[in-house]
Amino acid sequence: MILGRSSEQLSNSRPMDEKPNGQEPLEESKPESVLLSTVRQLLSDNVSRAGGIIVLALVIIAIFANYIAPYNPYLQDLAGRLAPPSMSHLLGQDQLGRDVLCRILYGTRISLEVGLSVVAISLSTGTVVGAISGYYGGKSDQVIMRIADIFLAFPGLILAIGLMAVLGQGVANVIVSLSIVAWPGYARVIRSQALSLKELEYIEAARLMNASNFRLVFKHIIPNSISPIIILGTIGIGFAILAEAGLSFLGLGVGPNIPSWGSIIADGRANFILDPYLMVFPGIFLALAVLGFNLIGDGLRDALDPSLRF
Amino acid sequence: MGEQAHLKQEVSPDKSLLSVQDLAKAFPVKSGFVMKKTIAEIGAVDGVSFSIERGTTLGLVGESGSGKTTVGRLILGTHKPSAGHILFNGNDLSKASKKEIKSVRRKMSVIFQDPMSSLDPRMSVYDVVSEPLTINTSLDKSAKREKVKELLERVGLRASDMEKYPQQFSGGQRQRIAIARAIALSPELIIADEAVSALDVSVQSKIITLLMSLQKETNAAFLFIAHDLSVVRYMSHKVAVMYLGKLFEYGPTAKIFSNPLHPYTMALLSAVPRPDPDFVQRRIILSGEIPSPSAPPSGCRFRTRCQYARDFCAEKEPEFREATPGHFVYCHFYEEIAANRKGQADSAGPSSEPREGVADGVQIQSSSEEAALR
Amino acid sequence: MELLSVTDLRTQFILRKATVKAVDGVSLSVSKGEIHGLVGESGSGKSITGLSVIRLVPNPGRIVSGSIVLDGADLLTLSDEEMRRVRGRRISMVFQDPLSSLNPTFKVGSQLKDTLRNYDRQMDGSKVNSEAVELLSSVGISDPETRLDQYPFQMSGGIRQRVMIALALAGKPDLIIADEPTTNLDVTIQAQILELLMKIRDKRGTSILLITHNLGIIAWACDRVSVMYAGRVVETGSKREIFSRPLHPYTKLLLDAVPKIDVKEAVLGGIGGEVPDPRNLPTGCHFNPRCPYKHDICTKKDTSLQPVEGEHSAACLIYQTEEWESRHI
Repeated sequence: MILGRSSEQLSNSRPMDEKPNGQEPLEESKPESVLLSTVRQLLSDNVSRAGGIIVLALVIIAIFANYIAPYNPYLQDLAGRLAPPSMSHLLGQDQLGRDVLCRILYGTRISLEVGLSVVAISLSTGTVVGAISGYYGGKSDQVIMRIADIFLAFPGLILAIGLMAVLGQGVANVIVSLSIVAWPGYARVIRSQALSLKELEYIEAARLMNASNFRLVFKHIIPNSISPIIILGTIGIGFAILAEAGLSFLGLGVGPNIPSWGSIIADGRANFILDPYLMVFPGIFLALAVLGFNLIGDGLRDALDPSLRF
Repeated sequence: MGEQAHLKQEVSPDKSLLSVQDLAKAFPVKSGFVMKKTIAEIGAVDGVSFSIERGTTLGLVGESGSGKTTVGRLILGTHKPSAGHILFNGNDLSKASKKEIKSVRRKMSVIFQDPMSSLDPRMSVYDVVSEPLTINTSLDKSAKREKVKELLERVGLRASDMEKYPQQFSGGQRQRIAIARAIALSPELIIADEAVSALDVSVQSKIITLLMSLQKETNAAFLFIAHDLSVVRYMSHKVAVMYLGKLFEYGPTAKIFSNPLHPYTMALLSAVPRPDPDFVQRRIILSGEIPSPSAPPSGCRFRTRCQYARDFCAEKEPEFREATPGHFVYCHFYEEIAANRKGQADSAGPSSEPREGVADGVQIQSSSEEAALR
Repeated sequence: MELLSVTDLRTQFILRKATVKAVDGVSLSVSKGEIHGLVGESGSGKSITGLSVIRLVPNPGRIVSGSIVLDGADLLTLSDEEMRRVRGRRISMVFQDPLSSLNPTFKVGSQLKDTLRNYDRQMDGSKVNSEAVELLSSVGISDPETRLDQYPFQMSGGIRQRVMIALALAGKPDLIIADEPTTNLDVTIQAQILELLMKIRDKRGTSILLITHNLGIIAWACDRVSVMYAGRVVETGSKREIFSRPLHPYTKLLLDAVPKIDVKEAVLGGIGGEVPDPRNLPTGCHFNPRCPYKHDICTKKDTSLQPVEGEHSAACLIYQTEEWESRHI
């Protein structure tokens, strides 16, 4: 008999029995983690590749500034005050004869230090506060959000100026005041994520198995709220760098002599007629740095957007 | 006349695993800007009593607004009852201390309807299934891995699936993961809240088979909340039918399905589509919509759609009466209705024109509609 | 009398990484005044088939081959403009979720009247109004004048679905494609809607292509049935034929897997394995990895619907063996 069955057997037989190991997951091979696939996509997309190159260059400069810079950025050379770019001083010299290129290269350190620290601090604080506030809800949520609103009511730079006036100059103070300005934004975003997540069934399932509130917030809510924050954080680095430059430009930032891009630009403003390059070059670096981080942020948003996955 | 037996005496509390008595829950409807005032209440559950014995399944059925999901939530403790008692192993849960609640929660677990949202997408299968163990036991890492392996194999998955993430699995497989999580602590009662409703037929049948074999093995009881009556018949030992917060009929599965006493149950059963083109029993097509839970009809809540409704039904709420041992009905006139139907069936003989049922239905519709317009 | 004839329809979604063959060779026909059930589980391609017939396949989907003949004309050869005139007037569609199909910011009346005016520009205000009222009462909505003035959110699911059906009837189509029209509704409301669909067939002679995963609905409301699996129709026949003598192994296993409400069964059937990934369908018969009657040839030879007993057809190689044919001539 072809096929080995008669039509009677066809109508009478039972289906295959449940095999205990008969279930196959849809994808056989170990999947790419979200991290890997994101990185891969970032590397393939032109936009984020450009941003990545810029940021990478800046990071290398920041780390190896000692080795790259031809001169000591504090070394004054009063004879060469406000000299235009030359073979020995590629970007010229400032009003105290210091090599502009070196100052800009060392300035990269400050910018990155400030940018990354501010985002690290404000993002983590904002996340924890926002998650707790959103999860618990009630009066404490209202109170926290009103406090955040107060901070957010001030235009960022004004608030930062006010704080710097109280704290005084210095890199650490800049980081602190910019973090204070930035945290409420992240807290708000995380809080709204927490509000929608806490109604989901996996949260309820965890609660029903006696999960502590701590566990629910830190193991369930925060990991699932993270993606929008990552994008905001990356762009936030650009903002922080710009803010620090602004503060230093106003003389309320890192302090005199320290080669922040902002203060170099400030020096350039005073001497614009005689030496316009003092403003232009650090400005270019500033623009590039913000651009670089924003491009990565854009690329990240596309990489993490599931609807664009195909 | 029928005995007026109160449900409390049906089973003595210490014999049943779970006993629910006159359970009620009202949700306030708030309005206002800053200071919210309660302007109305929605009686989601209004006086429900039933019990579940060890190792058995109670099927809780109802349509939207019936309150069946709320009952599940009340038992689990997600909401606090407005009135009534929940006894688990004889202990009144409303009087339990926090510590006792924690210990009760170890003995109860839940399986939700949507396998997408009931598993945390950021956690691996191992994390998901081991979480109850992590929180409630002091097993070390290797012991947990062993246990998770055992659980996964028990539900028909492979040990190697531990490292994977829920998104890589199909709906049916995800539900198996949820089941593995639910049995991790060997619970005595599992609440399955529409646990198979979102699955395809062929997948559903496998999950149902799995749940029943688990019940045989572990002697766990199930509260099976569902709207699909065919599945409920297959799985349950007892059935409770709810409508707009009230319990309309309650008793052993075989009795309820072969001899439904409440008009709503009859209509519900006849409305279920069967994969049988020769289904000849006269279909009762109810007219009108399910009333809103915020404004239920006075007296018997079903009267606006009931084909047997009388004036009396609007005046007084029925009582829950024991028609035959273990079979309870909430209707003023169930004996008359039953006698009537028997008379009709006897005189008409086996019905052979299913389409006649539609004509009947149209008549029923218009009379009920008239009743509703009164 | 044949109204709609679909032959070897193929609809695909061409994505960056893969091609999803949602509909992979579907043939079916709907007669005038017939309710034709298209039944399948998720991933069977039944919804896409419905959308293909009315040419509303969402991007990036494309109908790549086949023909859809409605009363003599192949819809796939029509221009966009011509197709727009077909939609609503010859074929209309009812979807699963009326909440997302009705515009929440417009009153039901204005949506209904807009639709009516669309089909007959000459209609004056009062005629449109009375048509709308007539339409709503024909679908069993009591007090239609009040309903016209309501917003969708003020209505229950059952009433909303009736409004959807009214909208679908506005252009007096010959064929209505109903995609899971009762899935979101309560059982007792579902019963009303199914009876309504049957009444529409009886009174107006409208054909309905009823797409569902529920075999009970098929047995209740349909005249003929096509069973779909993984993009193909695997069996076609009258309702009685399909339920009493299922030919295709998938149909048979599916029927076994449905719990019966009128009988307490001992064991429930099931189908081993999983539905195949539409990006990577098995070669030959799509059901072969899960089929208990699988033979070598099933992985090699493509299946197509062949008549087995009169009009009752199945796409299974069992029925194309010489042995079978010799016993059944």
